[in-house]
Amino acid sequence: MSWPFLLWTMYKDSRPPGPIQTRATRLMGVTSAGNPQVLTADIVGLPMPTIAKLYIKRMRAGDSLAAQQLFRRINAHSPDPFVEIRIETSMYRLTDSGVVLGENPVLTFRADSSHLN
Amino acid sequence: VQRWIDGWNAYWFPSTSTLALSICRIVVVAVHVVWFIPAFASLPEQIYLLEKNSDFVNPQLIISAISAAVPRAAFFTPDVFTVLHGATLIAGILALVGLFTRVSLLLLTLGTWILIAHKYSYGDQHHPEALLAIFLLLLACAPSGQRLSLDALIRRRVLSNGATGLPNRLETAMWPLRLTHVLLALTYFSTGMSKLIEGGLEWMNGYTLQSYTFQDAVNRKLELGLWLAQHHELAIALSIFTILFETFFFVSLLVPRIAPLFFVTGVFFHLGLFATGGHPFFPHIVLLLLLLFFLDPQWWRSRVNKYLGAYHPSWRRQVGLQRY
Repeated sequence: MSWPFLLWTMYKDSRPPGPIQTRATRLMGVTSAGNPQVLTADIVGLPMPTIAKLYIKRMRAGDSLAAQQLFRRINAHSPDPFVEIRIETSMYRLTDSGVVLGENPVLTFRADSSHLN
Repeated sequence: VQRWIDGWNAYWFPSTSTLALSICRIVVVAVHVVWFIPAFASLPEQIYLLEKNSDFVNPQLIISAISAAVPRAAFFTPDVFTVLHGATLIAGILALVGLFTRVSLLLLTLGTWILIAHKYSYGDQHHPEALLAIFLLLLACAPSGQRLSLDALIRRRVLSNGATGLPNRLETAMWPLRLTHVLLALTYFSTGMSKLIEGGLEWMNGYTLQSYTFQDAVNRKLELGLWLAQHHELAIALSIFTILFETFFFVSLLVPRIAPLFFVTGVFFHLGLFATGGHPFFPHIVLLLLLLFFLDPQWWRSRVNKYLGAYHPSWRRQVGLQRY
């Protein structure tokens, strides 16, 4: 199916009883001048769900090739190139006393490095 | 067979005032130009997608068709899309005031379809604008510029005898609303059945809606969604309501008398989805409101007669309402 003639199958899967949790991800970049910057859709040039699918998911699995592809993309037109990308993940969990926030370890990737730092 | 044909014609092509469709044109085009184009097909977003990508991730059919006819480097450029965006807005303004109404609506539709299909050609696709974009095309194919338009004014001036030159009632002024009603019923049925088939009855276990709401509310920072996600029984009730509403919306086609109740419910359903999950189905709200007011004006007339006219006979006389 192609827009605007679409299948309407959003949110179709059910979830079993159990912990209700989700994660919020922030993609950060650090430039060669040392400026940290949130890597938004307009900086990367793709919608965030696509960035998650093409890069973040693979980088979480330790795929440094995905990180290098992302570096190439964001540095293509940048006068101050990015030298580091960080994936910061917060875990939110529902409990009887409310929402509990936990931070996962930050994943860091450096330009021209072949492995997860 | 003749009875079937008569029934078909009576459903799709009843003699209807062209005023309702003209009001629909004005409302939809105004909202589309002022709100939906900037929100769903913003120029800055189009430009950064064009500047930072040399290829599409998942080109939509319209974009593939254009790419097959015109080289990417010639059409998919910031300059061309800036012109396209501007031309779409101009077509929208012309459609709003009803000048060259059909052509303007057709160009507005074309521009809108290209802009949104382009945005969705980079691996992320959403639904909110789809039905309204189709409705724009339906308006272009119907006599929606017959009234409340510069076209009508010009016709009247040319004839100079005060007549519009075209009848105020037509058999082709209702089918766009009827078809929109059918399309809405199909979309809701599709989404309701996919939940039942893929998710099963477990979809209504409360945990499913809590999980989805929690995920959306956290990422979009929605307080009401966070609150809902913490109320299991309420999530069960709303899950059952969602399945019932989506799966049985089509009943409004079969029992037109209760259709307005479905439309009102749909408006609140989408407002609720926006408040708790951030889903911007405002185009659906606009369509549901149009159907509520214009699909069966007789329904409103009889309600006004029943509930107001009976108690205020002088008011009834003033507005010229008759008891049927």
